Amino acid sequence: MMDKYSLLQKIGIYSSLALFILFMLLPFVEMFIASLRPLTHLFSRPDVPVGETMTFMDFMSRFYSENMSFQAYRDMWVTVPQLLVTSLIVYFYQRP
Amino acid sequence: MSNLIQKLKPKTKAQTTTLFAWALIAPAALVMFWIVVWPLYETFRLSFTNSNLGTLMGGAEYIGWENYEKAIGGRKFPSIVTRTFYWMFLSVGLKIVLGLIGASLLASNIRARGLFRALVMPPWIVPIAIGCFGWLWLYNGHFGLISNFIEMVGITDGPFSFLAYKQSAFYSAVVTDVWIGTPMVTLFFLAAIQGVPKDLYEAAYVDGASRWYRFRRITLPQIMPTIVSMALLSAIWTFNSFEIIWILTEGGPRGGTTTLIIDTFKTAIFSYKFGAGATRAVLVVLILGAFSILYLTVLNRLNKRYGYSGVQK
Repeated sequence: MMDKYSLLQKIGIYSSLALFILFMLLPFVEMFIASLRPLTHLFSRPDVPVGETMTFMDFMSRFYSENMSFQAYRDMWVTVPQLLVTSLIVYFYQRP
Repeated sequence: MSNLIQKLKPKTKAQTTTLFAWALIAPAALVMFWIVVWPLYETFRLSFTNSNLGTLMGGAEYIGWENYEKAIGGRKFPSIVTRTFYWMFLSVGLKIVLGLIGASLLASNIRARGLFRALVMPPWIVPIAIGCFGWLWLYNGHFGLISNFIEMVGITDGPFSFLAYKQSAFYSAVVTDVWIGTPMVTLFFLAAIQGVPKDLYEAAYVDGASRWYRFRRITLPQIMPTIVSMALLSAIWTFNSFEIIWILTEGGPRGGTTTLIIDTFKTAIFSYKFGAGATRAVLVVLILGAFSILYLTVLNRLNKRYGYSGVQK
Protein backbone atom coordinates (compact mmCIF):
# COMPACT_ATOMS: atom_id res chain seq x y z
CA MET A 1 0.00 0.00 0.00
CA MET A 2 2.66 2.47 1.08
CA ASP A 3 5.40 3.76 -1.19
CA LYS A 4 8.60 1.69 -1.41
CA TYR A 5 12.15 2.92 -1.00
CA SER A 6 14.18 3.71 -4.09
CA LEU A 7 17.72 2.33 -4.34
CA LEU A 8 19.16 5.73 -3.45
CA GLN A 9 16.92 5.98 -0.39
CA LYS A 10 17.94 2.49 0.71
CA ILE A 11 21.61 3.42 0.39
CA GLY A 12 20.93 6.57 2.41
CA ILE A 13 19.12 4.67 5.17
CA TYR A 14 21.74 1.91 5.43
CA SER A 15 24.71 4.27 5.39
CA SER A 16 23.09 6.55 8.01
CA LEU A 17 22.35 3.51 10.16
CA ALA A 18 25.92 2.30 9.72
CA LEU A 19 27.22 5.69 10.91
CA PHE A 20 24.82 5.67 13.85
CA ILE A 21 25.84 2.15 14.87
CA LEU A 22 29.53 2.98 14.38
CA PHE A 23 29.17 5.84 16.89
CA MET A 24 27.43 3.49 19.32
CA LEU A 25 29.98 0.68 18.99
CA LEU A 26 33.22 2.62 18.53
CA PRO A 27 34.44 2.33 22.15
CA PHE A 28 33.64 -1.41 22.18
CA VAL A 29 35.49 -2.01 18.92
CA GLU A 30 38.48 -0.09 20.29
CA MET A 31 38.32 -2.00 23.58
CA PHE A 32 38.17 -5.34 21.76
CA ILE A 33 41.14 -4.52 19.53
CA ALA A 34 43.03 -3.25 22.57
CA SER A 35 42.31 -6.54 24.35
CA LEU A 36 44.06 -8.48 21.58
CA ARG A 37 47.12 -6.25 21.23
CA PRO A 38 50.23 -6.88 23.38
CA LEU A 39 51.04 -4.15 25.92
CA THR A 40 54.13 -2.95 24.07
CA HIS A 41 52.08 -2.44 20.92
CA LEU A 42 49.22 -0.88 22.88
CA PHE A 43 51.44 1.84 24.30
CA SER A 44 53.23 2.67 21.08
CA ARG A 45 52.55 5.27 18.43
CA PRO A 46 53.02 4.88 14.68
CA ASP A 47 56.62 5.85 13.99
CA VAL A 48 56.15 9.15 12.12
CA PRO A 49 59.25 11.33 11.61
CA VAL A 50 58.99 14.90 12.94
CA GLY A 51 57.51 17.26 10.35
CA GLU A 52 55.84 14.49 8.39
CA THR A 53 52.15 13.63 8.48
CA MET A 54 50.76 10.26 9.47
CA THR A 55 49.90 8.13 6.46
CA PHE A 56 46.92 5.78 6.16
CA MET A 57 49.21 2.75 6.56
CA ASP A 58 50.76 4.28 9.71
CA PHE A 59 47.25 4.73 11.08
CA MET A 60 46.18 1.19 10.20
CA SER A 61 49.30 -0.27 11.84
CA ARG A 62 47.79 0.57 15.25
CA PHE A 63 45.09 -2.04 14.63
CA TYR A 64 47.43 -4.89 13.87
CA SER A 65 50.40 -6.49 15.54
CA GLU A 66 52.10 -9.78 14.74
CA ASN A 67 51.82 -10.75 18.41
CA MET A 68 48.07 -10.27 18.69
CA SER A 69 46.46 -12.97 20.82
CA PHE A 70 43.58 -13.92 23.09
CA GLN A 71 46.01 -14.30 26.01
CA ALA A 72 44.24 -11.53 27.98
CA TYR A 73 41.03 -13.58 27.86
CA ARG A 74 42.87 -16.63 29.22
CA ASP A 75 44.62 -14.60 31.93
CA MET A 76 41.47 -12.93 33.16
CA TRP A 77 40.07 -16.25 34.48
CA VAL A 78 42.51 -16.01 37.35
CA THR A 79 40.55 -13.14 38.92
CA VAL A 80 37.21 -13.16 37.13
CA PRO A 81 35.58 -16.20 38.86
CA GLN A 82 35.84 -14.53 42.26
CA LEU A 83 34.45 -11.25 40.89
CA LEU A 84 31.71 -13.15 39.08
CA VAL A 85 30.62 -14.83 42.32
CA THR A 86 30.59 -11.45 44.10
CA SER A 87 28.52 -9.92 41.27
CA LEU A 88 26.04 -12.82 41.36
CA ILE A 89 25.66 -12.54 45.13
CA VAL A 90 24.98 -8.79 44.82
CA TYR A 91 22.55 -9.47 41.96
CA PHE A 92 20.52 -12.09 43.85
CA TYR A 93 20.40 -10.02 47.03
CA GLN A 94 19.32 -6.86 45.14
CA ARG A 95 16.69 -8.65 43.04
CA PRO A 96 13.20 -7.51 44.15
CA MET B 1 -5.26 8.60 79.63
CA SER B 2 -8.20 6.25 79.18
CA ASN B 3 -10.16 9.25 77.84
CA LEU B 4 -7.52 9.79 75.18
CA ILE B 5 -7.60 6.12 74.17
CA GLN B 6 -11.38 6.29 73.99
CA LYS B 7 -11.16 9.38 71.75
CA LEU B 8 -8.63 7.72 69.40
CA LYS B 9 -10.56 4.49 69.20
CA PRO B 10 -12.27 4.14 65.80
CA LYS B 11 -16.01 4.56 66.00
CA THR B 12 -17.09 3.64 62.50
CA LYS B 13 -16.07 0.89 60.10
CA ALA B 14 -14.55 3.49 57.74
CA GLN B 15 -12.34 4.79 60.54
CA THR B 16 -11.19 1.26 61.34
CA THR B 17 -10.29 0.68 57.67
CA THR B 18 -8.36 3.96 57.51
CA LEU B 19 -6.45 3.14 60.67
CA PHE B 20 -5.64 -0.33 59.38
CA ALA B 21 -4.40 1.16 56.10
CA TRP B 22 -2.14 3.58 57.98
CA ALA B 23 -0.82 0.70 60.09
CA LEU B 24 0.03 -1.22 56.93
CA ILE B 25 1.95 1.60 55.27
CA ALA B 26 3.65 2.72 58.49
CA PRO B 27 6.76 0.45 58.13
CA ALA B 28 7.34 1.58 54.53
CA ALA B 29 6.72 5.22 55.51
CA LEU B 30 9.24 4.89 58.33
CA VAL B 31 11.88 3.46 55.99
CA MET B 32 11.20 6.24 53.46
CA PHE B 33 11.51 8.80 56.23
CA TRP B 34 14.79 7.26 57.31
CA ILE B 35 16.40 7.11 53.85
CA VAL B 36 14.89 10.19 52.17
CA VAL B 37 13.51 12.78 54.57
CA TRP B 38 16.17 12.51 57.26
CA PRO B 39 19.22 12.90 54.90
CA LEU B 40 17.45 15.80 53.19
CA TYR B 41 16.79 17.45 56.54
CA GLU B 42 20.40 16.86 57.62
CA THR B 43 21.74 18.36 54.38
CA PHE B 44 19.47 21.36 54.84
CA ARG B 45 20.57 21.76 58.48
CA LEU B 46 24.26 21.37 57.60
CA SER B 47 23.98 24.10 54.97
CA PHE B 48 23.40 26.64 57.77
CA THR B 49 26.48 25.57 59.75
CA ASN B 50 30.24 25.92 59.38
CA SER B 51 30.69 22.13 59.58
CA ASN B 52 34.10 20.99 58.34
CA LEU B 53 36.88 18.53 59.17
CA GLY B 54 37.74 20.46 62.36
CA THR B 55 34.20 20.28 63.70
CA LEU B 56 33.61 16.59 62.98
CA MET B 57 33.69 15.70 66.68
CA GLY B 58 31.25 18.50 67.46
CA GLY B 59 31.40 22.27 67.63
CA ALA B 60 29.82 23.20 64.29
CA GLU B 61 28.11 26.55 64.69
CA TYR B 62 24.99 27.98 63.15
CA ILE B 63 26.09 30.72 60.73
CA GLY B 64 22.79 31.63 59.07
CA TRP B 65 22.84 32.38 55.35
CA GLU B 66 26.64 32.87 55.20
CA ASN B 67 27.24 29.67 53.20
CA TYR B 68 24.59 30.67 50.67
CA GLU B 69 26.00 34.20 50.35
CA LYS B 70 29.50 32.79 49.82
CA ALA B 71 28.32 30.15 47.31
CA ILE B 72 26.14 32.45 45.20
CA GLY B 73 28.47 35.45 45.50
CA GLY B 74 31.58 33.33 44.82
CA ARG B 75 33.86 34.18 41.90
CA LYS B 76 33.45 30.79 40.22
CA PHE B 77 29.77 30.17 40.94
CA PRO B 78 28.22 32.03 37.95
CA SER B 79 30.52 30.23 35.50
CA ILE B 80 29.78 26.86 37.12
CA VAL B 81 26.01 27.41 36.90
CA THR B 82 26.28 28.63 33.29
CA ARG B 83 28.46 25.63 32.41
CA THR B 84 26.02 23.23 34.09
CA PHE B 85 23.06 24.58 32.11
CA TYR B 86 25.07 24.71 28.87
CA TRP B 87 26.17 21.10 29.48
CA MET B 88 22.57 20.08 30.12
CA PHE B 89 20.96 21.86 27.16
CA LEU B 90 23.67 20.86 24.68
CA SER B 91 23.70 17.23 25.76
CA VAL B 92 19.91 16.86 25.94
CA GLY B 93 19.47 18.66 22.61
CA LEU B 94 21.94 16.33 20.90
CA LYS B 95 20.37 13.26 22.49
CA ILE B 96 16.90 14.29 21.31
CA VAL B 97 18.04 15.06 17.75
CA LEU B 98 20.16 11.90 17.46
CA GLY B 99 17.45 9.82 19.12
CA LEU B 100 14.85 11.10 16.69
CA ILE B 101 17.07 10.42 13.68
CA GLY B 102 18.00 6.97 15.03
CA ALA B 103 14.39 6.04 15.82
CA SER B 104 13.19 7.16 12.38
CA LEU B 105 15.92 5.09 10.73
CA LEU B 106 15.20 2.04 12.89
CA ALA B 107 11.46 2.34 12.23
CA SER B 108 11.93 2.20 8.45
CA ASN B 109 10.89 -0.96 6.68
CA ILE B 110 14.30 -2.44 5.83
CA ARG B 111 16.05 -5.78 6.14
CA ALA B 112 17.97 -6.65 9.33
CA ARG B 113 16.34 -3.86 11.29
CA GLY B 114 16.09 -6.21 14.29
CA LEU B 115 19.88 -6.54 14.26
CA PHE B 116 20.33 -2.75 13.99
CA ARG B 117 17.96 -2.24 16.92
CA ALA B 118 19.96 -4.69 19.03
CA LEU B 119 23.25 -2.99 18.09
CA VAL B 120 22.02 0.36 19.45
CA MET B 121 21.62 -1.06 22.95
CA PRO B 122 25.21 -1.71 24.21
CA PRO B 123 26.02 1.80 25.49
CA TRP B 124 22.89 1.64 27.61
CA ILE B 125 23.45 -1.95 28.82
CA VAL B 126 27.07 -1.79 29.94
CA PRO B 127 27.97 -0.04 33.20
CA ILE B 128 28.69 3.67 32.70
CA ALA B 129 32.23 3.25 34.10
CA ILE B 130 33.15 0.70 31.40
CA GLY B 131 31.82 2.93 28.61
CA CYS B 132 33.71 5.89 30.06
CA PHE B 133 36.98 3.91 30.17
CA GLY B 134 36.47 3.07 26.50
CA TRP B 135 36.11 6.76 25.70
CA LEU B 136 39.03 7.63 27.96
CA TRP B 137 41.18 5.39 25.79
CA LEU B 138 39.73 6.87 22.57
CA TYR B 139 40.48 10.44 23.74
CA ASN B 140 44.09 9.63 24.65
CA GLY B 141 46.48 11.94 22.81
CA HIS B 142 49.26 9.50 21.97
CA PHE B 143 47.54 6.13 21.71
CA GLY B 144 43.92 7.13 21.13
CA LEU B 145 42.11 6.25 17.92
CA ILE B 146 40.52 9.70 17.45
CA SER B 147 43.78 11.58 17.94
CA ASN B 148 45.54 9.28 15.46
CA PHE B 149 42.68 9.61 12.96
CA ILE B 150 42.55 13.43 12.97
CA GLU B 151 46.32 13.45 12.68
CA MET B 152 46.11 11.18 9.64
CA VAL B 153 43.49 13.32 7.87
CA GLY B 154 45.57 16.42 8.60
CA ILE B 155 43.33 18.27 11.08
CA THR B 156 46.18 18.32 13.62
CA ASP B 157 49.89 18.04 12.99
CA GLY B 158 50.63 15.89 16.03
CA PRO B 159 49.07 14.10 18.99
CA PHE B 160 46.10 15.94 20.46
CA SER B 161 44.96 15.09 23.94
CA PHE B 162 41.25 15.81 24.04
CA LEU B 163 40.98 15.85 27.81
CA ALA B 164 43.93 18.19 28.36
CA TYR B 165 42.27 21.45 27.28
CA LYS B 166 39.23 23.15 28.79
CA GLN B 167 37.13 23.42 25.63
CA SER B 168 37.92 20.05 24.11
CA ALA B 169 37.54 18.28 27.48
CA PHE B 170 34.08 19.81 27.92
CA TYR B 171 32.88 18.78 24.45
CA SER B 172 34.45 15.33 24.83
CA ALA B 173 32.45 14.84 28.04
CA VAL B 174 29.31 15.98 26.18
CA VAL B 175 29.96 13.41 23.42
CA THR B 176 30.36 10.64 26.01
CA ASP B 177 27.17 11.69 27.79
CA VAL B 178 25.31 11.77 24.46
CA TRP B 179 26.70 8.31 23.64
CA ILE B 180 25.41 6.89 26.93
CA GLY B 181 22.02 8.64 26.82
CA THR B 182 21.06 8.29 23.15
CA PRO B 183 20.12 4.56 23.08
CA MET B 184 17.40 4.98 25.69
CA VAL B 185 15.98 8.08 23.96
CA THR B 186 16.09 6.24 20.61
CA LEU B 187 14.23 3.21 21.95
CA PHE B 188 11.54 5.35 23.59
CA PHE B 189 11.05 7.32 20.38
CA LEU B 190 10.99 4.10 18.37
CA ALA B 191 8.26 2.70 20.63
CA ALA B 192 6.29 5.94 20.24
CA ILE B 193 6.67 5.91 16.44
CA GLN B 194 5.46 2.30 16.31
CA GLY B 195 2.41 3.33 18.31
CA VAL B 196 1.26 5.87 15.71
CA PRO B 197 -1.87 4.51 13.91
CA LYS B 198 -0.99 3.24 10.41
CA ASP B 199 -4.30 4.56 8.97
CA LEU B 200 -3.03 8.14 9.37
CA TYR B 201 0.00 7.40 7.16
CA GLU B 202 -2.09 5.53 4.61
CA ALA B 203 -4.66 8.34 4.39
CA ALA B 204 -1.85 10.89 3.95
CA TYR B 205 -0.15 8.66 1.34
CA VAL B 206 -3.39 8.38 -0.64
CA ASP B 207 -3.67 12.18 -0.53
CA GLY B 208 -0.19 12.41 -2.03
CA ALA B 209 1.77 13.54 1.05
CA SER B 210 5.54 13.08 0.78
CA ARG B 211 7.62 11.20 3.39
CA TRP B 212 8.98 14.43 4.89
CA TYR B 213 5.47 15.92 5.05
CA ARG B 214 4.14 12.80 6.79
CA PHE B 215 7.01 12.94 9.28
CA ARG B 216 6.37 16.61 10.07
CA ARG B 217 2.57 16.49 10.15
CA ILE B 218 1.88 13.02 11.54
CA THR B 219 4.89 11.47 13.27
CA LEU B 220 6.19 14.54 15.11
CA PRO B 221 2.83 15.72 16.56
CA GLN B 222 1.90 12.15 17.50
CA ILE B 223 5.10 11.46 19.43
CA MET B 224 5.33 14.97 20.93
CA PRO B 225 4.32 13.85 24.47
CA THR B 226 7.14 11.28 24.40
CA ILE B 227 9.63 13.85 23.09
CA VAL B 228 8.75 16.33 25.85
CA SER B 229 8.79 13.64 28.55
CA MET B 230 12.17 12.35 27.42
CA ALA B 231 13.61 15.87 27.09
CA LEU B 232 12.61 16.83 30.61
CA LEU B 233 13.60 13.52 32.21
CA SER B 234 16.87 13.52 30.31
CA ALA B 235 17.49 17.11 31.45
CA ILE B 236 17.17 16.04 35.09
CA TRP B 237 19.47 13.01 34.60
CA THR B 238 22.04 15.04 32.67
CA PHE B 239 22.02 17.81 35.26
CA ASN B 240 22.73 15.14 37.89
CA SER B 241 25.32 13.35 35.77
CA PHE B 242 28.39 12.78 37.92
CA GLU B 243 30.30 9.63 37.02
CA ILE B 244 30.89 10.49 33.34
CA ILE B 245 32.66 13.77 34.12
CA TRP B 246 34.37 12.35 37.17
CA ILE B 247 35.87 9.36 35.35
CA LEU B 248 36.92 11.41 32.31
CA THR B 249 38.30 14.59 33.86
CA GLU B 250 37.44 14.86 37.58
CA GLY B 251 36.07 18.30 36.75
CA GLY B 252 39.30 19.54 35.13
CA PRO B 253 41.34 20.78 33.37
CA ARG B 254 41.31 23.99 35.45
CA GLY B 255 37.62 23.53 36.23
CA GLY B 256 36.70 23.32 32.55
CA THR B 257 34.21 20.50 33.14
CA THR B 258 33.15 21.35 36.69
CA THR B 259 29.38 21.32 36.94
CA LEU B 260 27.29 21.96 40.06
CA ILE B 261 27.29 18.29 41.06
CA ILE B 262 31.08 18.01 40.66
CA ASP B 263 31.54 21.27 42.58
CA THR B 264 29.33 19.95 45.39
CA PHE B 265 31.37 16.74 45.63
CA LYS B 266 34.70 18.57 45.49
CA THR B 267 33.67 21.09 48.15
CA ALA B 268 32.12 18.56 50.54
CA ILE B 269 34.45 15.58 50.13
CA PHE B 270 37.78 16.88 48.79
CA SER B 271 37.88 20.16 50.73
CA TYR B 272 36.07 18.74 53.80
CA LYS B 273 33.75 21.78 53.85
CA PHE B 274 30.61 19.87 54.68
CA GLY B 275 28.51 22.97 55.38
CA ALA B 276 29.48 24.68 52.12
CA GLY B 277 29.00 21.40 50.22
CA ALA B 278 25.55 20.94 51.74
CA THR B 279 24.66 24.47 50.59
CA ARG B 280 25.46 23.53 47.01
CA ALA B 281 23.49 20.30 47.39
CA VAL B 282 20.46 22.29 48.58
CA LEU B 283 20.80 24.61 45.57
CA VAL B 284 20.88 21.55 43.27
CA VAL B 285 17.76 20.18 44.97
CA LEU B 286 15.97 23.53 44.49
CA ILE B 287 16.91 23.75 40.79
CA LEU B 288 15.91 20.13 40.16
CA GLY B 289 12.71 20.66 42.17
CA ALA B 290 11.82 23.57 39.85
CA PHE B 291 12.57 21.32 36.88
CA SER B 292 10.36 18.56 38.26
CA ILE B 293 7.46 21.00 38.70
CA LEU B 294 7.99 22.22 35.14
CA TYR B 295 8.09 18.59 33.96
CA LEU B 296 4.82 17.70 35.64
CA THR B 297 3.09 20.90 34.45
CA VAL B 298 4.16 20.43 30.82
CA LEU B 299 3.27 16.72 30.88
CA ASN B 300 -0.13 17.50 32.36
CA ARG B 301 -0.84 20.08 29.65
CA LEU B 302 0.31 17.71 26.92
CA ASN B 303 -1.84 14.93 28.27
CA LYS B 304 -4.82 17.27 28.33
CA ARG B 305 -4.10 18.32 24.76
CA TYR B 306 -3.25 14.99 23.18
CA GLY B 307 -4.80 12.55 25.64
CA TYR B 308 -2.88 9.67 27.18
CA SER B 309 -3.00 7.73 23.92
CA GLY B 310 -1.12 10.49 22.13
CA VAL B 311 -4.00 11.13 19.72
CA GLN B 312 -4.85 14.82 19.42
CA LYS B 313 -8.29 15.67 20.77
